[in-house]
Amino acid sequence: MSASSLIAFALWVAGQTGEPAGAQESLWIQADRILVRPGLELRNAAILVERGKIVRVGTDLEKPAGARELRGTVACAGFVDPWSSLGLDPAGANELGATAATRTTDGLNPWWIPEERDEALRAGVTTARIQVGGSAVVGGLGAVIRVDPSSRIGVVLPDACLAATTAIQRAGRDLDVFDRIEEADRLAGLIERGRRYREETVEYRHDLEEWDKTIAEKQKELEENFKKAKKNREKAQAEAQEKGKEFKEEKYKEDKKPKRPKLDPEAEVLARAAEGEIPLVVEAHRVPELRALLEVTAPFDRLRLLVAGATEALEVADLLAERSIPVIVWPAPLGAEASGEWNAHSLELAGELDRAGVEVLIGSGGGPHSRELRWIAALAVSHGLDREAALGAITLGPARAFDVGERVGSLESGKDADVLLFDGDPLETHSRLLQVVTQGRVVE
Amino acid sequence: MSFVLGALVTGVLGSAPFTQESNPAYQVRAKMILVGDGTQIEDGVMVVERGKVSRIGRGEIDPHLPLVEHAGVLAPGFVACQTESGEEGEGYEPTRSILPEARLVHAFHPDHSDFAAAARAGITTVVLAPSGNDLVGGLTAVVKTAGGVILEREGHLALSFGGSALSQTVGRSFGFGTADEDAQASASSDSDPRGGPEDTEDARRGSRQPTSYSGALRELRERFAKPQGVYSRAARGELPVLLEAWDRHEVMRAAEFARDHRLIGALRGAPLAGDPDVADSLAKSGLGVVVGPYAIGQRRRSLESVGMFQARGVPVAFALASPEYAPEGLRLSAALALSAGAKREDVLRALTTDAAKIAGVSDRLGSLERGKDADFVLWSGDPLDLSSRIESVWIDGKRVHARTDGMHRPTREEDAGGAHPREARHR
Repeated sequence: MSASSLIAFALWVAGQTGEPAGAQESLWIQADRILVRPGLELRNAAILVERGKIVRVGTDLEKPAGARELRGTVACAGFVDPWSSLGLDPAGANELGATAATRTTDGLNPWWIPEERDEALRAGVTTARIQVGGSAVVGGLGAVIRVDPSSRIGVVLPDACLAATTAIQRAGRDLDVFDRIEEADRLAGLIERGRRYREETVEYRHDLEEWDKTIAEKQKELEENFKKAKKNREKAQAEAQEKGKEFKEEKYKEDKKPKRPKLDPEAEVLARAAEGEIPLVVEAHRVPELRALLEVTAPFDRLRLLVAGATEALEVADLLAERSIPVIVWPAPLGAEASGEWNAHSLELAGELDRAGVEVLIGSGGGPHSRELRWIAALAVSHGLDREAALGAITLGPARAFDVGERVGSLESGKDADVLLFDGDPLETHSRLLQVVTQGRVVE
Repeated sequence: MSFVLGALVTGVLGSAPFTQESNPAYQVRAKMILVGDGTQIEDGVMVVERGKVSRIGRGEIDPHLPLVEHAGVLAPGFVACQTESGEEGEGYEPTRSILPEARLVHAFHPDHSDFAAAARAGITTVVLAPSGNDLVGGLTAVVKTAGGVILEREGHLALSFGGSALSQTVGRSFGFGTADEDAQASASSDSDPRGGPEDTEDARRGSRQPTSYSGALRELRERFAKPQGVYSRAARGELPVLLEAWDRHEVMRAAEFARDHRLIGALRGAPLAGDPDVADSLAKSGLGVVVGPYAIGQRRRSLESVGMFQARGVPVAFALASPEYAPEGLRLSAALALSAGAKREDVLRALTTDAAKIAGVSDRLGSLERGKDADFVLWSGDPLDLSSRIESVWIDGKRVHARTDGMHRPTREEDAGGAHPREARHR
């Protein structure tokens, strides 16, 4: 994305996420347990919300006059679904011709199925990372959106990641193991292309700066010598006329202006991924392509890789842990006749990866069904994932991974007031979700 | 968290060593016992003798019997009312559509990994049913997921009112596509050079009868007009039926057919039957309903149908549809139905008592009453809470699965009693 379009986009986003109605109201949220963030829990505490933000969290707060009071047994942060297509036009979500320059925000279809939004929101999902071209070789720029109760889609971050897949099947054709490894290689080639483009761009800027400087110096010199030069020129002209000769203008040798690299919007995005400015999410499932992926991406030391799906990731868990690569799992009950990507799928994966020291994120699998996020996180718990890790995997974990950890994912002061109030533990599936607060507004 | 810590103390206490070989009787004490019939016992004790429940209730433990102490919940093993587990293609006949003589019991491979996987998910009994792609699919079998136990060799007569039982045009896309889409699908498979075997199958299916819903009804009415063999047993109410029907019109047709012929049994499918009039029609037919499995993203309306049926007194059970779905899908289905407004006791019954009733084995299974089979599961918490873990699964009083990862390791004593001897008890 060029700088100017980024600015234009930022303005558009600002317009979209402008102060929502009703957020002026102050909220006073009390709970027996407040799960502030993984590792920090407060008993008999309260959260003070003003103008859509969490102002204070603590056990010694006093209720300000006029604040609306909410009560529950357990409060936690709104869920962040790291793998969704909520709010995306289905054609965009399934776009197979996507490139790195394809933008998820271009495929937004503000809640063409309002039930999907309402159900997701009522199930506690307040933000989601959505992805255009979820099964394309390269899916383009993913976005983090807010599951907004109004008809708009609040974009929290329009360029949250770049996505790619290594598939088992493409266009109905099975990819054998070498095809799949080749896909990983090709991906590395793309990242390299981005890296080089960035290098060229940086070089160009540097050269352009040098050139500008040289030209400026020359110009100054010429201006300073202008009178003398003019006199000399007039003299030379007169002499030429006298002698009946042709007058020749003195030519200045000019430095060649550096050539701008050809604008390549794809490479621009690839460059941002290569430089770690945005994370790269790669859906990969089997050991060969997982190994290949880890191998070919190793030289890019600024790349921030995330692996999604990762059916057989346990085989490479040590490498994932060593390189701090988070894994987005989809702990849905899938049988042996599921597609090639998933038929070796195990509900134990989340727990096993967590025990192997890999950061686990839980996503609803790339579809529009974020409303099941809590259920599948609970399934991961029942198959060995630590309860606290599971809650982190649908709150702060994904928020941080997609660079919105400063705004959402926990109940710390200064953050957006996305608060869920339950009558029991959030991951016990018969706990009822009593209230959903998003940006300080109570969802009625 | 407290449940997880609690699970740590699950273990074997008591003076007598716990080996089922030497002593067939033992007792299990749990913080909560869900009997399966809707009642629950806090700090309950269950005594198991020769694979049966011999005593259950609150009260003292017997100092002479080995004790399995469990800090969580003891619940009956789940009964899944329809599955194609381990059938290896036996559940579907591509050349003919009417196979009253087919018996799924012949396709039962007790050692198939599908059954072990089901047991690990707390499912101890399954109804093996044909795929639903045959108008008359044959006779279901009711089997346990360990030990090769066959509970019913002739469980139900399976009939399909679904589009997939009809000829090529409707059946190819399981009744959900349009004729044009099917023609396209057929054309693309013809042009695919690797499509050889499918082409042959399609060709065979193309000549199958019947080819329409009305044709199917005619075939079935003919058979039930002067019923013989399995049809006559079904018509007399001695053999329950399992009727597959998915779309609204299929469900209405199946319910009407069952009413007309006074058939007993259950309907399988009905994902869109969550309309009150369909539910009313089903309630009048006296049939039970086998729903699900519900997957991630299931339409809200089909989730709500569980509560709607149960409110009308229609017994509901869940289907497993393994191996397409993982066995954990059964519990997910139940939890989703619960979240969509069904009552907790009713949902639990749909996994146990009502499922056993629909499976036709409620004399032996479905609750942990005295005299019934000791098929039970030790859970870290409430089984309807998806985050609860399975600590161990027991069939006919023998432990067939124990959690092996993380904190709980089976003790040596438990291991000694763990192996389930292969036994085929035929009725």
